[in-house]
Amino acid sequence: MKKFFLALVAMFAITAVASAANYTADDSAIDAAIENAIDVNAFNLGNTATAPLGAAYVAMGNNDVVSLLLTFFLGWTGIHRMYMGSTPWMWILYLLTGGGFGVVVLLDFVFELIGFVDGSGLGKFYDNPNILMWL
Amino acid sequence: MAVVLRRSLISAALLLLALGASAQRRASADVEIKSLADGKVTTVTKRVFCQGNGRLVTVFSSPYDYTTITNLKGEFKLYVPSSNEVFSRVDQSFGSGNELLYLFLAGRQDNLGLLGMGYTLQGSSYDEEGFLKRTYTTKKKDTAPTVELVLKDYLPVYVAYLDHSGNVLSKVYLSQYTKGSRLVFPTRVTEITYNKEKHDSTVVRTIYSSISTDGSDPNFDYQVPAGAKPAGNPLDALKKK
Repeated sequence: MKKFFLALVAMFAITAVASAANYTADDSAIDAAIENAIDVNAFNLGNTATAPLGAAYVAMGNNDVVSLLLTFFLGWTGIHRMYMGSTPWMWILYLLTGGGFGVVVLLDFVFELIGFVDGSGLGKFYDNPNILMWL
Repeated sequence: MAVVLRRSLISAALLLLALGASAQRRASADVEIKSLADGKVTTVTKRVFCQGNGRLVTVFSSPYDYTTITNLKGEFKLYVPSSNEVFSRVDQSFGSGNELLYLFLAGRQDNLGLLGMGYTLQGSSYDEEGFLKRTYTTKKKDTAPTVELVLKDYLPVYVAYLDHSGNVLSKVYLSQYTKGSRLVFPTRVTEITYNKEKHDSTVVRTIYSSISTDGSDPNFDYQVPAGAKPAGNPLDALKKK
């Protein structure tokens, strides 16, 4: 959690520095923000037992939380679809279209949230090969 | 008459040699891209193989293994070795004209390919510190209307994309140029994109390393295996597991 907040603070700092009238970025601040950020690649998509943060969620017995967070924070990259079991093409498609121009990823999150809240879970979205996984 | 003819032939030969040399220029580099948003970071690693004629082969190693081939015309192929599938598409947005390594290899670093993207140079000026600032505009609807490009010693160091109101949409910083090599190239590129609605920003840091102008690597001439199964569009590939 500490690293997460440090990363957020660094992000604000980067924005402030970048708004100054100069032509050089604060590389130190950027590197620090990256270093302190949660590495989504550490989830080793599909193997949460070996990932640091993923392991914590596995211990909680709640992969749906991870899916929801990935969709909310990084849905535009398609990472949530890869985590939930999909082909590399899905990730590429999301990355190239920005999560279906933001619309598809928004709907992904809405339907996941509904499944999370009403207790039905996100099981139907795992290993789903369809672009529109909620159809 | 004979002298004029001989000189013309020599000039033509030299020109052809120069053009040929340009087309034969090759460069490759390891690339690490880290994208930071909302306190989370993703990493993509790849090695790019670029030729002066615009042929670009990219071998992705993380987070997944696949290879892409494209050229200036946007004739794009994506090959996945694990499934032996190839996805083909012709789209200018998939072309190599926007690849930074190609722009420097082709000597287009002074405008970063903006002229080829439909931008027009509106003006340029020097500031007190010797930075040359060029302003480009376009009437195309699907891109930033104004771009400010700043050069130092004729090398691009900063790019700002502005909206119609002059607000900054994103900034790109190019730094840590290679020195003493055949290809002068920025080994660090940082892009900061602002999201006004979220009052947040996304940072993409690209690090280039192991830059080589040795064109002997076979990946420069990489071809999709003949037996690769064509995936006509992403939907076909996505339905297969």
